[in-house]
Amino acid sequence: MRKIFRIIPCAVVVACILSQSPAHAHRVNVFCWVEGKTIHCQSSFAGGNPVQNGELSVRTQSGETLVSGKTDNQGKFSFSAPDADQGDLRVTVQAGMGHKGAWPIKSGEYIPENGKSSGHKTQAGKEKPKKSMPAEAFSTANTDGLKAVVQNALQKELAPVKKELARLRQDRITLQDVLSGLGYILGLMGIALYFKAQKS
Amino acid sequence: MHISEGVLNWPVLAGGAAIAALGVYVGLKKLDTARIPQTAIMASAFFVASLIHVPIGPASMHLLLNGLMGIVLGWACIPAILVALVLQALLFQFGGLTVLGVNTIIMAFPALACGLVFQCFPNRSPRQVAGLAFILGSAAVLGSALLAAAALTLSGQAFINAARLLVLAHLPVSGIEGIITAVAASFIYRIKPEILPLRERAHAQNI
Repeated sequence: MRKIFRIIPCAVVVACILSQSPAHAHRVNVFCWVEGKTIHCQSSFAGGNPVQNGELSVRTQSGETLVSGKTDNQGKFSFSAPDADQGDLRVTVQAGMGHKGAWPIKSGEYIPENGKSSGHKTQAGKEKPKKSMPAEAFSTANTDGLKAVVQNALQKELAPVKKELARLRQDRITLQDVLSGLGYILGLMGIALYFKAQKS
Repeated sequence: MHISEGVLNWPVLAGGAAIAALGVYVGLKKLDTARIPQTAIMASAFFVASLIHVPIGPASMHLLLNGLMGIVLGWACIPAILVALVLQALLFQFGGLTVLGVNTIIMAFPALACGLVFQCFPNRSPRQVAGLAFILGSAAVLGSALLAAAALTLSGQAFINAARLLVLAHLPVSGIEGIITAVAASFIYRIKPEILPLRERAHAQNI
């Protein structure tokens, strides 16, 4: 009977740990970043090799498939971002042999603020010839065009930074992970020895 | 070798979990106190070995060491592999928590088979131990590959495709694994033979 009382708290602790941990596990690493109106995805195995010919699909939260295709020789796949807000997207890569990885894309990432960027772009195109007149360049009518130009330049500059951020954001194995795993095993050994010693 | 979450369908997952639970129960029943530290050390080795990538072949695969685990631990390899897989799923995101049962079967059952075969041949010379360990170490990896293919088949993939891919991808690993198992087993046999369950049996028979 006393043994049962000991087991119950252990089970509760284990259940808490299991329920809190993120369940989406990936043996296959995928990360995506947005550059202008295109979304680039890069996938690799845990060892760093690119996933070639992996089946990549982009789904909305309701399960509707927006885009699907295969990754190229470098594990890359690019597609144009949806124009309308489709909510949060989920990119999954099936690498065969039971290996699968996923990466979430928040709706805010691919829709530039207000979702009006396409409007800006056409305006920028129209007003470009006028730029030769410096006086008019700063007029209120032109601020929208200027905004679009700056936005474009920023997007180009920020793309590598975004890529690097996405790469860093994916799960990677650190020394702490390895050491804590070994620690857990030693701890379990201690618990097992304790109970065996109690028995005898 | 770790099957990811969301690949298998739920009857396979549930069946795998039930069979694995049974195996773990038997493994724990047969585990005696003196062998607990050894089991923990082998579990640690298995846990870390998955980080060692073998960059040969179509996809980079990692070491399994399940043949060596079976040879050294016998039945206790099932709980040891389960513990290591739980930690790999939580810390490395290899496999997943719902696939634990299936992954345990995939890795532990070939290991157990190797262990039982190894125990059937007591009283061998170190060279024979090395040869046997080489065969068992590489067979365990291929056995795991075939079991993984079977699990994928039960979830709807074509067996021949899955099996061919998995076995081909694991051939280089299986060779390396065989060498490691042979070196480790013959080393243990020469230095500290009582670690191997084989020697205990031989002693028991002599007495």
